[in-house]
Amino acid sequence: MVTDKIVIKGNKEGLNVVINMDHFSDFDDMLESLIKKLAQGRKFYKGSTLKITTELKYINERESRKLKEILFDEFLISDCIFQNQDEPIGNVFTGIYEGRTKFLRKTIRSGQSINYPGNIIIIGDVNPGAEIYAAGNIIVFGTLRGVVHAGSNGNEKAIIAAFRLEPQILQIGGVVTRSPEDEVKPKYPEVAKIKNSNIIVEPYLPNKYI
Amino acid sequence: MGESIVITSGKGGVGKTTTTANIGTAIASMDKKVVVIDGDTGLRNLDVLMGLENRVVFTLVDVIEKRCRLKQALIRDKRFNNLFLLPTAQTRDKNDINIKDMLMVVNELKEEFDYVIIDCPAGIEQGFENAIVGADRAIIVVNPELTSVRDADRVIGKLDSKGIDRHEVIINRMNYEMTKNGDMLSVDDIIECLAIKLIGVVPDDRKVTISTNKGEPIVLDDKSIAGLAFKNIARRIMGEEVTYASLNGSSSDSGFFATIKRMFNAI
Repeated sequence: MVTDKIVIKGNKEGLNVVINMDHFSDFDDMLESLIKKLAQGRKFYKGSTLKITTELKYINERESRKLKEILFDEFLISDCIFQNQDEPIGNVFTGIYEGRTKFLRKTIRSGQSINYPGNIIIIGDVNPGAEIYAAGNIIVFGTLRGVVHAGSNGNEKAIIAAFRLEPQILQIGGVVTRSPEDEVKPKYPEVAKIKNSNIIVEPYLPNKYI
Repeated sequence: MGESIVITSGKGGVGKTTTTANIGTAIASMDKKVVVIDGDTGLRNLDVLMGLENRVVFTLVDVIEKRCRLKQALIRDKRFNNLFLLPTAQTRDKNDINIKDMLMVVNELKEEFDYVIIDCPAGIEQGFENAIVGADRAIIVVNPELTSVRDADRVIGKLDSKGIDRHEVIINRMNYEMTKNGDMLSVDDIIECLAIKLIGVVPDDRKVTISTNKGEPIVLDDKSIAGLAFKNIARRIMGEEVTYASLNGSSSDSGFFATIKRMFNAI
C-alpha cells in the first residue's frame, strides 16, 4: 500500500472507489492516479458497477463527465454512481486549550505570510501587510497590525490575543471583521473571540477594565 | 577583506542615492578605501550626484559583459583619491544583470576596498535582488511618512528572508518642528513600528538640493546640519560610538534657541 489516496472496496452492492481529493493537486492529477490504479486489474472491472465516493464539490460537471467517459470506454464498466463523501469532521483543529503550537520569536513584516495547522504564538509585532493563519489560537506578544485568521479550518472557539490588538482584518472560523476606524486604541492587552456568531473584542481580564 | 553595505528603502525618492554618495564620501574622508556602486541600471543618478557624470566611459554592464576589466570601469573621485564610483549603464535595464554576475563583481571589489557601498534602486524586483545579493549588511533609508515606513517594513522582511540580518535604519528629511506639532511621524514612532536599530537621523535641509545640483556631496559642507548628520552616520558605520543626546526633540522648552539646540542634539 503506497497511499490511501484512492481506496477500492468491494461489498454486496458492488465496488466502491473512495477518493480523497485532499491528496491531489487537481482533478487531472487524481484522474491519472485512478487510471493507473484501475489499469492493474483491467479485466476485473469489466462489466462491474463502480461507485465513486469523494467530495463532489471538488469535481465539476465537465470533469465528472470526462471521468465517466474514461471509465465506460477504457474499462468497460456497466454503471457508475457518484456519491458525496461527507466533509471530514476530524479535520478541524481542536487543540486550542492544549495542543500543537508554533512559537515565532521575530517581528512578522509586511508581505510575509505564516500558515500553521495549530496555535501560533508570536514574540514580536505583526506589521501591516503581514498575514497570519492558524488553525488554533493566535497570541501576539507585541502589536498586532496585520491580517489574522484564527481557527482557519473551522474552530470557532479559537481566540486572537495581543498586547495591542489593532489588526487590519480579523477572522475567527468563518466570521470576518474589519478594524473600526475610530482612533481610540486601548493601551491594555485585548482578546478577540466569537460570541453569538459575532466577533467581540474585550480586555484580557474583563473585570479589570470594564 | 572589506565590508559591503547596501543602501535600500523600497520606496523611491527617500534619499538612497544621496545617502550613498554622502556616506561614501564621508568614509573616504576618514582615510578608508571606498567604492560606491550604482545599482539603478537605466535610471542612474549616483554619477550626477558626485559630479562625475562626464567621466563615465565604461559601466557595470560592460564589466559583466566582459567589454572591459573591472578596474577600467572604476572612476576616481575628484576630491578623494581613495574613493571610487562604479557607474551603471543608462541604456540598459535591470534585467540585463543577474545576481551571479553581481555577486562576483562585489566580491572582487571587497578584496580591494575597505567598504563597498551599493546604491539600491526603488522597488523589490530584479534590481533590488541584484543590489542585495553581495551585501554583508543593509542600511534602510526612511522618510518620516507612513508610505515610506510601510515599504521599509516590506524590504526588511525581504532582507531577513535573504539572510541579511545586520540592518540599521536612517531617518532622512526629519523636520523636528512638524514632529513636535504632531504633523509628522517621530523617530520613536518609526522605530516602534519597524523594530530595527537606528543608525542616524538626517534633518531636512535645503542645502541638500543645492549640493545635489552642484554635484558636491553635502558632507563636504562643514556648516550644513545634514552634512554633519551624514558624517556621524559614517562614523557609526565604521564602529565608532557617536552619541546622540535627544532623538525626537521632545523636551519641553521651546523657542528659537531651544529648537536649534535640539537639532544639534539630535544629530
